[in-house]
Parts: sequence; structure tokens; C-alpha cells
Amino acid sequence: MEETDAQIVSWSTIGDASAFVELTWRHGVAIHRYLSRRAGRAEADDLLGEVWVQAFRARATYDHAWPDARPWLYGIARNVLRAHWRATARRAPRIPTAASDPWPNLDDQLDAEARRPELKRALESLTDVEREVLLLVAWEQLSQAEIAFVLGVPPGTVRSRLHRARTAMRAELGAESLLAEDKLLKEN
Amino acid sequence: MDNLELLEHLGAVEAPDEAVLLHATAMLEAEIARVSAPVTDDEAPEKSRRSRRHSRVLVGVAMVVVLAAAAFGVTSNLLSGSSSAAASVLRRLARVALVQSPVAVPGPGQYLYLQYESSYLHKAPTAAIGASPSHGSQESYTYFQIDREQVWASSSRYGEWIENLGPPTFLSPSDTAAWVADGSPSIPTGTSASKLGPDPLYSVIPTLPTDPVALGKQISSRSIESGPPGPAEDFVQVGDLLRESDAPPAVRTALFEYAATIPGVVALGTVSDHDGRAGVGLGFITDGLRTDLIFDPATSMLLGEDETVVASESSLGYPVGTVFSWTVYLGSSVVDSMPSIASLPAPPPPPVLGAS
Repeated sequence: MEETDAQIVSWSTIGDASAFVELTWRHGVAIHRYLSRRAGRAEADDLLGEVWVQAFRARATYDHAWPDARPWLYGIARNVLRAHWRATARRAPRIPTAASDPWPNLDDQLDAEARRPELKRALESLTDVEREVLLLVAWEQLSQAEIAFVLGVPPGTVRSRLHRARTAMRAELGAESLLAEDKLLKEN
Repeated sequence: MDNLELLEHLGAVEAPDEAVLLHATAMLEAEIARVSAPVTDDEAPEKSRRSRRHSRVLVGVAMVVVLAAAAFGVTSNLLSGSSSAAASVLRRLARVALVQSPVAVPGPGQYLYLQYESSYLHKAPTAAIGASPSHGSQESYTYFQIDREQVWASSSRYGEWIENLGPPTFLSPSDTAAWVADGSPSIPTGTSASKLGPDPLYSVIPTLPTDPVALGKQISSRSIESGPPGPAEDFVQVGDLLRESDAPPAVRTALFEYAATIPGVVALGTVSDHDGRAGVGLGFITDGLRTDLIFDPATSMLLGEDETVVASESSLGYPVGTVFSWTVYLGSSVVDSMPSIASLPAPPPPPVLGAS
């Protein structure tokens, strides 16, 4: 039986540091897609290596109750993106907005699609955390507990953020199916 | 293509080139070559090590002095990170927590039954955005709804969650007018149910250190919950660990004692929660929003939480004094069963819309 991600992280922590490389083969595509969806392909290409370096440095904090490392890696990727955007903003100041994350790739795609401007408005009405909860459901197909792990908040907070996002989306779109509760109900 | 499909479609991206994956792995291998031994405090980068030791010394000194001061019944602004008043309140809560009976926890086949009420401001954009709004039209309308929640959760926090959304109340007459001008779009109300997944945080809480310095170190290093650095997040995480938790009295005591060392916590005196219950309030201001935790002084239990706009520069854009959200914790008990989804409570009466 294939060893779990948690076992690999454990080995990398207690002596066999190179074992950590296995995670890049297992999850490189998923983490690149996570970055690409939010920042675009070119920036994802640049940032993927930084995610692995940061994950390796943080391996001692891995929660071994989670056999699958993807939620943990998504959380690290999120932090890398935020640090990147903060640095970018420092280099090229822009008009501040309520949302701390610019989500350039999503905005570009929505502009290009130009099919559902109301969807863009609805997404813009959300806070960055609410939008991230929504997109972690729609794009990464994560469970409530996994989203909580990614964002570093209690599941109760995920529930309330999702509730707010759902309400805002319903108000804008009338889309009852947009965030059906059972999308969040994977009990893993 | 419906909106969910469109959202999922927008997330469809191409797989990376093999060369990108190899380059990223090479960066990792370079890092592994640089740090080839297990990570410990002493092997962390030099800059981090200095800052961690500095922090540890300060917290350690603060706690020694705080405990000594408590023993002699004196307080001082110099003794802790929180304001003197806040630190005093937190230490008092710590002493109260220590003598409480342990909170009942669900055994096999049992559930922790929790009741809450909460409310958040919802800001909905109107159709005028992106068009050419007529003179005086408003681009959004803001309202709140009271959300009554019931949770049945096993010890690992599997269970059910039932919520009942009440009718909306608009923040101001202009919000009511904007909603009407927008065609009075439907605002969902009523009862819904969902299942809860496990929550790893709650399996950790009973095992947390009872020494406030050790506990504070775990919190501030984000080893219990991840999050950004800084005292605002420290305060949030203390709230997370006290909320809905079955933390043993000694852990709750340590949480309060650690909170007394967090810089920036302010005492609010005796305040009422949104259920009208009096408690002692402690707050932390960040981005023009004050987050309050309200505790029962007799039991140290969390009664409620508020978020209030306290500065005009808040990025939320609401007037000073606006209550952005609130929650009250109305009770908890251990029960032997949870209801079936089919036995949901009756929906509320039809919405009564209008300015508050």
C-alpha cells in the first residue's frame, strides 16, 4: 500500500529530508492549478517552487491527523500568493480596495468571458475570504473541514463565510444551486 | 451553462509544462541540500531564531511579573501586553475558569447540542452597477437577518446543523429604497439543514498546555491554527479556542492568562450581549473594526461576540457605530440523539420588509 502524505512528511522531519520531494510528484499539478486559477499561468510557473520551499520549511508543523497533504499545501500556496501580491503592490501601488486579494486571473477571465457580468458583480461583492471559500468549493472540491484547514479558521467560521457568500450570490443571481449544501458535505 | 457550471468552467486551467514542475522540484531540492537535518528551533533561519527568542523572553518575563503581581494584588500598565484594565479582567476570568466544573463532553452515541443566534450585515449590489445609475440611485443595499442555529455534534464534531433565517431588516431607509428600486429581489429566509464534518481543532483543545507561556507560544507560532502573525490574530485565536469548546478548566485558565499578555486588548467594562445578558467585554480594534468578546463574569463562559465599526477609515465603508455582526451563545448540553432532517422546525412567518 502506498504510504500517505502524512507518513512522507513525517519521514522528512525525522531524518530523510529528501522524502519530501515525493509530494511534488503527487501534488505538483494540483498546486500549480490552484495558483494558476488565481494568479495566471505565468505567475503560477514562477511561484510553484516557492510553495515547495515554504512547505518544506513548515513541515514540522504538519498535522499528521491529515493523511492527504493537499489542504495543507493549498494553505501554504495561499500564503505564498498573498505575500507575492503584497510585494507586487509595494512595487506598483494601486488604489486600495476592500478586498485584500486582487485575484487578477479570475477578473481577467470574467472580463474575457463577458457572458455573465452579474457573476462578476456577485463575486466582487464578497470579501476575499468569502470568495476563497466559494472557490475552494467550486474549483478544488474541498470539504468543509478541508477548507477550514486551508484558511486556518474553525469550520464554524467556514460555515458563516459560506453562508454569507451564498446569500450574496443568491441575492445577485437567484442561483439556488450555486452552492448546494451537499457540495460541502464530504466528511473527510 | 448555469452559474455553477460557469464558475467551475472559469476554474478550468491547463496542466503545467513538465519543465515547470521539474524547475519547482529543483528549487525544493536546493533547499533540502541547504538544510539537510530535521527542523528544530535552533536550526531555523538566524533572523527567525532571534525574533523567537526575543519574544519568548519578553512573554516569560511578563508572565513572571504578572503572576507575582497577581499574588500581591497589584496591577500595572507595565506588567502585561493588554491594557492594565483588560489584563486585570482577563486574570480575574482566569481565576474564575479554574474553579469551574469541566464542561460535559459527549460520549459514544451522544451529541453536544448548541444553540446560537447571529446576524451579519449583507451588502447586495443593485442592477445599477455597470449601467448608468440614475441620479441619486444607490449601488447597493444593506440588510441583516437574524440567524437562529442549532447544532448537534459528536465529540469529533460530526453532526447536523440547522439554521433558520429570519426576515431581513434594512440598515437604513435609503437601503430599503434601493432594494425597492431594484425590483424588490427575493431575499431567502426559512429553515435549512446540513451535515457537519469533523473538526480537527476540537480534538486538539483538550490536550493543549495548561502553562500560559507554553500555550501562548503555540498560539503565536500558529501551530494550533494557522493564520497571519500579530496580536490581532492572537486575540482571534484565543476566541476560537474558548468558543464552543470543551477545553478543560486549566486550559481555559491558561488561555485567559495568555490573553492578558496580548498587546492591544482593551477592557470594555460591563456590556450586554444581543440577548440582553450582562457580561464583561474585551475588545481588539483592527482596520477600524472592534471585535468584542463578552464573558459571563460568574462562570468565565463566552456569552457573545460583536463586531462594531469604530473608525470612519474602516474598509467596510459603514458609518461608525454600525454593528457589523453579532453572535450570542444561548446554551449547550449533552443529548442522546439528534433530530432527523425531516423534523425541522416550522419556517418563520413571511418577511416583513422595511427600515429598522
